[in-house]
Amino acid sequence: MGKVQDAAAVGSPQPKADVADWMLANPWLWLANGLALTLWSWLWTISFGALASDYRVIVLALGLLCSGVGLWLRWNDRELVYLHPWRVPIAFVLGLMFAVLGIGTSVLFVMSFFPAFSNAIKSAPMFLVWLTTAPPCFVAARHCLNFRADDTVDREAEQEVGFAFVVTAAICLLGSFTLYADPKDPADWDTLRMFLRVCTAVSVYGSALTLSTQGVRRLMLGVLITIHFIGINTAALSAPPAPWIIQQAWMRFFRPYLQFAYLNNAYHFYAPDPGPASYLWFRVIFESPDGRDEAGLWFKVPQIDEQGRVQHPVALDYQRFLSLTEAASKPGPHPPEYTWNAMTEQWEMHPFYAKRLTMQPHALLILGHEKKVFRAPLHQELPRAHQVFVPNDESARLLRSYARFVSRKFESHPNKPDWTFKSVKIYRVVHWIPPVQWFLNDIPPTAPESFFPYYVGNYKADGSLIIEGDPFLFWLIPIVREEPNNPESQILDFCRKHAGDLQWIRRSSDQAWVTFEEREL
Amino acid sequence: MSTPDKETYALPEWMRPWEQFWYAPADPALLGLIRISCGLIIVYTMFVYSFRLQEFQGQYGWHDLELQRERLEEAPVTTGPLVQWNEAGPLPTPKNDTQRTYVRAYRKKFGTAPPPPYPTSAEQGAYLDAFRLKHGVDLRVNGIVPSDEEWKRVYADEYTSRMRQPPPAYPESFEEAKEINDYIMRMGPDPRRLYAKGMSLFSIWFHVTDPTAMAIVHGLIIAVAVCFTIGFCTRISSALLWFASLCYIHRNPTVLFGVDTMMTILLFYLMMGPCAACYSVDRWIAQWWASAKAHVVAWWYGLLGQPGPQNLAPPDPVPDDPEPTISANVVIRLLQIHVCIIYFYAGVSKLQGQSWWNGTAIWQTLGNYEFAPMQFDLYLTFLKFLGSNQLVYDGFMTFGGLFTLAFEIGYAFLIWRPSLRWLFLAAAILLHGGIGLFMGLKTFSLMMLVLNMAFLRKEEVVWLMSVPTSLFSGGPAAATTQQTAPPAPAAPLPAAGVKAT
Repeated sequence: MGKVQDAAAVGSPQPKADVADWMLANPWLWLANGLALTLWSWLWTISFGALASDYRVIVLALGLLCSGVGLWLRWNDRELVYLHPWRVPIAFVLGLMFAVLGIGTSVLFVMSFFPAFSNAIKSAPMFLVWLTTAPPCFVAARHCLNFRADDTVDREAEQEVGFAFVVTAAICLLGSFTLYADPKDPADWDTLRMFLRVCTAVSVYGSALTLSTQGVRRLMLGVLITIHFIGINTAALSAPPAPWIIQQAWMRFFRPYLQFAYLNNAYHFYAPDPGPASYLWFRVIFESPDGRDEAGLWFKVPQIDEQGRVQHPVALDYQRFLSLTEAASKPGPHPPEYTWNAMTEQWEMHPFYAKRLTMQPHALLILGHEKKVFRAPLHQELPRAHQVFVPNDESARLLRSYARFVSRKFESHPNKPDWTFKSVKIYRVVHWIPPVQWFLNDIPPTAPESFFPYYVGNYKADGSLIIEGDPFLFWLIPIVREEPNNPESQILDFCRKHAGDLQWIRRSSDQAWVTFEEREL
Repeated sequence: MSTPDKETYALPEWMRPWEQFWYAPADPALLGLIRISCGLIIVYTMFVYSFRLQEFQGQYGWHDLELQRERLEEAPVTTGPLVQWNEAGPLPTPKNDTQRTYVRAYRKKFGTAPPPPYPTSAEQGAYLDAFRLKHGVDLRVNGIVPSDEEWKRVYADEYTSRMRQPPPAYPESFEEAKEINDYIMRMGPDPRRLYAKGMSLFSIWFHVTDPTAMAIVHGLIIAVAVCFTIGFCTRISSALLWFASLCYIHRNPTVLFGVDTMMTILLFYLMMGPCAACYSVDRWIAQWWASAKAHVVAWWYGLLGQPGPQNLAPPDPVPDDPEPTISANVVIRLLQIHVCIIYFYAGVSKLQGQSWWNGTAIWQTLGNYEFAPMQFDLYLTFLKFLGSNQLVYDGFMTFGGLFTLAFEIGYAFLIWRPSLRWLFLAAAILLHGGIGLFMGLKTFSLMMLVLNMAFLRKEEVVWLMSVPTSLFSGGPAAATTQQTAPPAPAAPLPAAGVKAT
């Protein structure tokens, strides 16, 4: 229980009566409980190996919580000492540990320059580790090894705080082994193992700072703060276009730390220019049990109905969906429009463009007869380069994941339970921001022709892109007025038509989406 | 500012301004206000996740676990060489006539010096020249040594055709070549040219994937967020909440936006400081404990049937006004500097954009259907009013754009001046109020205003908290316990022996 604070023993300037606190205020009781629970969890793991139940993690969590409470109590109370009889061995152990740590980080830093170790130990992050770790470790070691039995109670309490940090670090380290149950499954709890190892390092560092002198503590905090803000600045400056040196600093020095703490934002809000929002339209295709027939269904995110009303329960949920669609809207490089053909020794249009151009109708108005082969015009008001959207690698991977999600969400047709998912066509849709004149003329901002859908592929349930040579892949499939200069004319939604939706014409009289046969003549 | 006592400094004299800036004690009341404000937004943010926990964080969500694990383990980190211009390095000085002739001929043909090494034969030199003529790049630039083996030449040729640059090495086996190719197909770059692979992310949602278990953990996280907001066990709950918020962020980065960024920043700093020293349940418990400790301890030992401790340590006194602490000042300074950095980069990055120069940027936000409140007729009427007159329209858009730029770029430098502090805080309310109203980003705007609170003074904090405090204390009690004090930055360093928690 609470150690007696004896003025004679600790050399306090004012003699005090012995005092003690109740058991729940004893930090070492909590730390001991934390250690015991973590040990239990660890024994559970090594006893059962891969068969160890995940309930051991609950025991570990309780152990870590107890340790946190113990550390908190010890940190808060700088007046009572509890481990007075062991003060000298504790000081010796701490001193030795910090001396080894200081020398160890210095040796690792030097080793990082040798080619044999440079793959395992990167010099750049190691420099930061050495700069911030070695000085307080050496000072803490000196401070502890200079400990005398008649030191002040302040110093003894400080030493106990440092020791509590070390015990917490040991518990975190043991916890990281607890989570490693199955060597055949390296992914099992791997990220939390990493987190606990970071906690171990932070706790040891906290101990070193606590045991350092005030001057060193302030100096090291200053170094940490400076490094922290240099890192924040490199994160902000490393967004393209970025200087080479900033990219190097970001990648080599600060990336792991700032990624870990999610402080890696560049803060380029609405920069360089605010842009239009993106939607994702999914045309889910189902097939009948015999595989002969198909039916389609639209699923659009964010969910906004035909009247333009948001269907999400709260604004935050809606904004998360806008972020979700935006994440899949990062463009990659376009194919070159013309390439050199060494065989013919001529510049030729890249097949990506050539194939699409051949799929234009002879005239924009194709209402006279509907052809079996789908054709769609290029958008008349956009340059050709703006009618192509090739997602970059990251967006392409996201689209595959989204396709997998939609395939699971729509495993069967909502109205025909025996019809199963076949594939999903995805359109990334840009909603153009209309000029103020639209509002003056009472044209709704959700008018169909203000949407620009880009076809980004037909995906299977496993997220793989069906390579079918579709000439419209990565092309804008326009939604246009039948008569471009007549705002009262019918709307031809080639995107709907491309997706297999038979109701692809919006009549001007009743604003209803109808089939080719039901159109206004 | 009073001149501090010489003994209170711990760093050399030339570092005194730094020490004064960072290590002067500050009142923690401000952190209490920030904790409550940001905690309320976080509770709401966490609660909203409940609607789509499986869709956003689940194993088979939009951003599914398979994809995020791939990023976690395999995301490429490319840097390029640090010192040399390319991975091959510089060409050694020619040692004989053959090498001198080769360099001269190469220069004449391609206009640059060749990368190392020198070809070992005339045939190899011809092969290298042909390679460069075909692909437009020298085989050796990425550090590969030309080979006379046919399969290696075929490999280099095919690789360069596909990747538009030569390989860094030849694979040692078919399996290695396949592994490299698989990685290129999935992630883009050659794994042999990477600085590192993977990301330092963590999340409980990588490992807890059962929907019921997820719901339980999510419920616990909301409870932790509530504890943090009311200031209960705050040292623990703040760290747990920081960890928990990062779990959501690291698991699914595709649904994040500004509010998540600001939330992480605030939690990161608040968990380091005494954010519960004021306006918290912890403080209320400490006050209660000061009078009830003896009874509770006696009752506890009575339950256990043991005698209580002799000479029980008296409870820590809880002053009416929380003591100013150094850690409170450090956290406030960190917040202040970080918010300046945010605004500065938000402002200067806009200077790259044409729309911020030609005055159309504001319309791009006001006319954006997805963000603007166009379901309200009043808003549409406002837009029509703006558009009814070109002078009004262009004046509004130009002024709005310039105001945004001037505010964001000027903030970092001018907010520190006492005479301009209120102007910039008022401008922040105007800007973020506008963003919240006209762009629908209410949580983000509120979080930015919370960050701006880092520049409030003690008396302003007391004034802001007087209404909620009086609600809980049954009258205008706040003013009785809080005294007007000088602003945090102006406080002197502590006298020796001040508790530096």
